[in-house]
Amino acid sequence: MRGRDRMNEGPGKEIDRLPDAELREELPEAVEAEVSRLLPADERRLISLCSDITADGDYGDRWFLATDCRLGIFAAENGEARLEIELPWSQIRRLRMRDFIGGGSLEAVTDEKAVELLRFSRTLAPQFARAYHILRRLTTEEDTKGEKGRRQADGGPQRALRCPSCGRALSRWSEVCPFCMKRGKLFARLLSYLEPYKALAITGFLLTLIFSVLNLLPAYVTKYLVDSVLLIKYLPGLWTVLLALLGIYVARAVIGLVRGYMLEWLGARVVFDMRVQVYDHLQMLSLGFFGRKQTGQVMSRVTNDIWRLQYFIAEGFQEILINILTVIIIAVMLFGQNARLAALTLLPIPVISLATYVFSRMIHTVYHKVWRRWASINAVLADAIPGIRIVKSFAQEDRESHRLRERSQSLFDQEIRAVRLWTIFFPAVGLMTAFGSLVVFGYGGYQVIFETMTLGTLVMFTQLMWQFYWPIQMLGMMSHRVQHALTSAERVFEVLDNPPEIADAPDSIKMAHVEGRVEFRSVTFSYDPGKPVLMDINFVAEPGEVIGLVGPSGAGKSTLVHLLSRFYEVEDGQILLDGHDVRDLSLRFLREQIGVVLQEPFLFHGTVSDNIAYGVPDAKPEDVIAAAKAANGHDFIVNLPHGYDTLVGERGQLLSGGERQRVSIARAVLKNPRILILDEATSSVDTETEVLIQQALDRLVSNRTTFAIAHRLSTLRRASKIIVLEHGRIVEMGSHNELLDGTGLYSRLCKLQAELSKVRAW
Amino acid sequence: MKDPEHNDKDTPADAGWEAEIGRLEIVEPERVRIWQDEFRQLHVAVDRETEFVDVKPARVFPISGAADLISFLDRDDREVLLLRHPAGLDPESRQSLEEEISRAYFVPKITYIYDIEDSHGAARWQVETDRGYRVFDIRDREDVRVLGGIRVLLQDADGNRFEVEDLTQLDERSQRLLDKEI
Repeated sequence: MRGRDRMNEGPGKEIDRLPDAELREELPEAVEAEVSRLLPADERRLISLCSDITADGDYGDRWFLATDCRLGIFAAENGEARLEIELPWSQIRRLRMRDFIGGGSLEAVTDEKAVELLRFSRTLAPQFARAYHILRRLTTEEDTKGEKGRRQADGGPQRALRCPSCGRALSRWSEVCPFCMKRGKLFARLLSYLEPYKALAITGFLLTLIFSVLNLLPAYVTKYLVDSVLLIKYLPGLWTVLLALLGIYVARAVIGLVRGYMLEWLGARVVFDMRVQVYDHLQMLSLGFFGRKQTGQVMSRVTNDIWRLQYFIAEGFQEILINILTVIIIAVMLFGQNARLAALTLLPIPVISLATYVFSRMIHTVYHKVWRRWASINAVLADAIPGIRIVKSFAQEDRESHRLRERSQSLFDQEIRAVRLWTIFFPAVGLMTAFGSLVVFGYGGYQVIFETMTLGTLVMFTQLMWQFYWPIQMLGMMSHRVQHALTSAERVFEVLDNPPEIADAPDSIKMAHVEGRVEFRSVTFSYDPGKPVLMDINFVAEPGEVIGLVGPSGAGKSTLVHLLSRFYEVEDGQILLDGHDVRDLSLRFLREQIGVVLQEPFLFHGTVSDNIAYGVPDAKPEDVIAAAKAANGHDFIVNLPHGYDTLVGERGQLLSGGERQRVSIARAVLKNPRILILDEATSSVDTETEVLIQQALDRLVSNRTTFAIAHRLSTLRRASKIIVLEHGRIVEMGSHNELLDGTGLYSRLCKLQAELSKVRAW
Repeated sequence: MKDPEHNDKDTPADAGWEAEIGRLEIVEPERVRIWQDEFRQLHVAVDRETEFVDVKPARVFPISGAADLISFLDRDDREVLLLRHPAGLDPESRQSLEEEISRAYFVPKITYIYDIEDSHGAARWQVETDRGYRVFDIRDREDVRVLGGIRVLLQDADGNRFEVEDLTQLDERSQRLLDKEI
């Protein structure tokens, strides 16, 4: 739906601008040949799209072509194209789009009948919806509203984001495409966090190197012990050896300790820096970012992903390093002593590495299944424990036990699968290394007997051999951990790479005095391009005026006030505050002028007083009390056990709904904004409380330009102007009495609610 | 909650409930005729008296099939008729209904799995279905639901649906690939 301007035009109009390339796919050769044969040369092709379902309901290509004169449907099979349907626009009264589970269809209605043009899967539904919106203007029947249509049969989930480079759908939890992740680059970026602690990092690395060497030295000493002390029975040599070993062990312990502490500190520190950076950055991001993500998802990045990185930087990273170094050093030592025997010792290595790799993949899959089954047990518990009163009152304890037992069984089965893998793997690897040692003993023993090698060398070989297999296995196991850590890193970086909220224009202004006159000038806005949420909104709110916003859910009421706070930018048109475009104002300044009271008041963990002073941290206690009094909240607050110092629980759980609401009103009062937004502020409280809140609000709105969103229309008595929104457009505007006399949506809603309140009086 | 065995036991037998259940009107197929007109609108007539035009059929238990009921909704999504046992309709009506239903629920059945490329739950599937070959992306393991241990329902990243009717009936290779995802 490009160009709203067209939407207001009548039928039979021409389409002057060609749709974009997405709706103009290139026809395959066969179809193209057939089209050129049938179509007069001067006909302009508007839209050509390929659908993925045939007339029989199987997957297959069918081509849809719209020119400025007609519609055509072509079947294409085995390199041949066939015109299946042809209809000139002059015969088509209207187009009809239908939504189904897993797909949709496009139909043309003529004077005599309706024709199903084609069917398509959900994958192509957006393209065909766009084509439909453009083409319906060419039909003969007036169609201003568009197909109001039925509620989408399968409005279903929000469409997935796709990886821009490979086109794969991205998981809900991450906008990182694991198939396209550049590991090397990521690794380098991760390491760049070590930059400020370069000296420490390098020292740590050197200590690691020394530590690895110290680990291997005893094997050398053993060789000396056997060849130069024990075999020739040289006693002073024994003391030297013992002393040397003691020295090595002490040095290893000390260095290990220092190194461990340093690297742990480094890991924790780097993660600390990263967490602060991510959190700071999150505060700067636009609401649009948070709208795309679930709260849990964002929180998981600040906590889980970073935690995983800490583990990786502090431990995983050095484990990898030690293991690689160890393998290299041992290989060098072995080959230096006896190249042939070394080669034989290494024989089982490829098999062991491969086996370890395969095993770690398999165990990973099984562990994932185990983990999923744990999650499902948790889900049952999370259901049944808070809902225990319902469970008991419906006498369904047995069923709940049964549910848990079923899932436990499934968990047990998978755990056993994991156990089976473990129990097979380790003995198998053990056996393979044992074979390795047989080879070493056999060939080495042979050489010792024929005196081509010393006994000490053989002893050293056997010692080093065992030290060699272990790091190889560890490295095989690490591959998944590295993968996980890199994914986490990418997710964290993704947050950091999100550009911060719409920055202020360089010449943004702060007004000395704000009157509070708000004007919307042909404002249009959409979250998803092509699906406008607000269209052509025009109105003026004079300073101090109360504007009521009414309309069904999804009509665009909340979006309208979000635009005023500039949480999102308008797509077209302007919003003016005292004649200044809000985009020219400093964002901070603009938001300081706006107070908000929401339906579900959000209180932070802290005291009542902290919450009231949230927007004005340096407010004096007297200010806080005055605000609370204005909000009709003072009396209940002083009755709380700790008065204004009472801690409200998470999201204010210690207070009742009405009490929380009054705290949030006090918060708005104290901020003393010129513009006030009340988003269903009085719903979900009892009548008595509503009166109290209403009084508080009446005090609050005086002299402030107020936008009040309400479902309960009685709360809009004070509104000087009521705007009725439907499907993103203003359908009515006027005072309560004016609108009540009419026959529009507002008077209908009012009558309905009057009926309702009678019913309520049972 | 959909356990049919519990129903008899839980149903209150007092007169109040009798009245309640008495109000529920489920029409037997013998009384109903269904046809589609040239404008592709579905008509439903009961006892050749009441007729509803441009109705949309909807399965009441599309997944569990706990009861064999079809609901007919008017333009405003209000139910105009609840039909029992659609298989008992006369042949023409049955065909009209089945055509409409098979359109309304496009859920190809997976018969063979060529490959599943998985990375942390986001996966690309290449499958053969009863409607032909298809490649689709799954966003999350949540979109792969297993029912009763053998039936698998899938929803891809675009909202398309797929189904494996009985995974034990798949060939071994497909089963092995599938097993990693469930």
